[in-house]
Amino acid sequence: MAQDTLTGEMLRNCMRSAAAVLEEQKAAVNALNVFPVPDGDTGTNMSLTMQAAVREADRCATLGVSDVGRAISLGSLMGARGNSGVILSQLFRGLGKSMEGRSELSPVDLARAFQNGVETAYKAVMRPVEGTILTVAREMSRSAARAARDGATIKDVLEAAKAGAEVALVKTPDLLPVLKHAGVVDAGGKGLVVILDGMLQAVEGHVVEPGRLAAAEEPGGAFHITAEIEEITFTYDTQLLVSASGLELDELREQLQPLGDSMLVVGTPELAKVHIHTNNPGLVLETCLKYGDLREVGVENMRQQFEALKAARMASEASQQALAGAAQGVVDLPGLEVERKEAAVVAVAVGEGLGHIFRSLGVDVLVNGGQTMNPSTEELVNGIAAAPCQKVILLPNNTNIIMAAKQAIELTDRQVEVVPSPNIPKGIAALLAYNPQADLEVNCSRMVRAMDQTRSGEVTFAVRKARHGDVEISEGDVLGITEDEIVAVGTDPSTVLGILLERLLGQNSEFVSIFFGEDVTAEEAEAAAAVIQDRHPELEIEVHHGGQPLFYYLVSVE
Amino acid sequence: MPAEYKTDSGKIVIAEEVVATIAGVAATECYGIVGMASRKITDGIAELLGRESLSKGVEVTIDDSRVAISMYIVVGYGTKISEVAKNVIDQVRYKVESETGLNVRKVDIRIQGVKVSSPD
Repeated sequence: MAQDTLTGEMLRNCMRSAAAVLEEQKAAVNALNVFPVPDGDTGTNMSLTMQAAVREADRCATLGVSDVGRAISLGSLMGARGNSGVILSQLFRGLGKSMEGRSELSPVDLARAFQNGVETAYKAVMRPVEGTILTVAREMSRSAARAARDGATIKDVLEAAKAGAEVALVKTPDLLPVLKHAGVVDAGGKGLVVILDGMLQAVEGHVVEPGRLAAAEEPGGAFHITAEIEEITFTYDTQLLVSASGLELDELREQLQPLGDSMLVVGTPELAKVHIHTNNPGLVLETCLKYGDLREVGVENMRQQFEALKAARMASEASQQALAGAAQGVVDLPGLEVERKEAAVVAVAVGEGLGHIFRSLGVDVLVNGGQTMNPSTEELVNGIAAAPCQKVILLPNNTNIIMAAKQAIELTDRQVEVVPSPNIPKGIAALLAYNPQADLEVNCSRMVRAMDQTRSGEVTFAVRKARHGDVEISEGDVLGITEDEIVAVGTDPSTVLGILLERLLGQNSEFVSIFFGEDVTAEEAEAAAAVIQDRHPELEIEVHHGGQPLFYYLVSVE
Repeated sequence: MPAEYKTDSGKIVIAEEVVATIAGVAATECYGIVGMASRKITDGIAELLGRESLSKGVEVTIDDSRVAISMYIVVGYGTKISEVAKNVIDQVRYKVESETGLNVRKVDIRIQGVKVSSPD
């Protein structure tokens, strides 16, 4: 029989296929993530870990099962992300170990490799929690071993492994109460089932290529831009919270099931989140009302959203310049991402270089503005409306805009949090802590924390005569300003930058970022940085083109 | 200093030991951790602690209801230590914050040892 042994080539195809299928379904896996920390990133983490394993396997020159196994083991170890990723890497480590010295595997060998993977994985934990990916993996290997004993083929062993994993997955809520309360199965376990499914498809001869399904099913509600409107059978994306005491999630789920698709009812008996695509939002609300109080009700017309997305995509393709958008104060970013984010970021900034920096750090919408050109509340509201998801983080990046930003919250139906960044460097520090997959509150607290750990300053010029302490300031003088006071006055921006930095540096400072404005050349900025570097060889200094007006330099110290 | 909450009908005081135990339990459930180490032994072989003394490898300081935690842990050989440590930080922070309602300012992880299990 053709498939009585597993070769290195086949194993590699299995891994490619598994990685592709997992990538397609990662949103579904993310949506299940409530344990150990409900941050909705299990699918993403597992997918990234799988991709690292595949990359390493692709580099294999020889195709003995032993070499591919070692590559998978190494790749997944180095690329392990998150809890589930680390566990996955240990499964592969055990798997790879038992392939050592082999050119191909018999079905019995494969089952033994699974078993060895599970044993290795269990060794790296002090108190294994049952009802997680570990339980699912254990049942997977048991089922595979039973099949192998009965004289199965490679395909049979994988089928048995997947079946065993699926059975165990369904039971995870019985083993782990937090899953039962939330009405979900374990996310990591689900990820493992998806991986086995991908492997099985490869053995059956259909290696799944990355991006095979353009419109992957995503219970989170996002839909792919290439999907046709006709494919949207249910028009209204309806989301709400139901608060009650002793809520029967299962019952509510049953009641809502007939009303639409992509349904998700998760939470606790006190608070449930309901998400459903339906043609009758009223009926959904009425049904939920029978179970408790409704909060944060949101109904979106998906056809309209789709049209807007399509229009935005076409607009950005038609014109690389976002001048039209800039006129309204809102710049839609090219290559609009439809990928599901938990929370989008809207930031206020001015200057081409800063725009680039903010975009590269994950900002979805830029609102033009800054010192002396504060955006109006309306412009901020428009910016929020242009964000690709319901939850939005707003970075004002200027003390004078924080108030307008807070007002904007009142005027939008989206859930918006302001991370009160007083200036650009602080905004960038906050963005470095931003994680698109984490939820709004987690992001905000992380971003504020990151911001608090950064000191910032600005080098600008005086617009009028003034007195600061004992110092006379004349119009046109160059000023170095920390967050709250003027600490340096001079005539040369680079010299003032040096004095300012001395004030900002603390004992534990390691990292300095300098953003130079439109009135400074790259050479000048590099020269200024070199002087500082000479004085402080221990510092790591980065110089970026900010292109901002009014400020010669913006600087942050971590 | 223990953390204090004031409510209308009285106050709630949470001792550091409570936070340390919650953090200890959370860490030992974390994948990649094979043990807690006594913080007293800073050089030489880290001592693996039993289950009864879960809070031994944990230092907690509470300042104005904000918690700082240091943990001394032993990891399994062959895991990505940086990722395991990151997971411990996330997990401990989440558990302590959700169970006590306190704000966790930071969780520092000190890897005191690597355990090599029997040859496989």
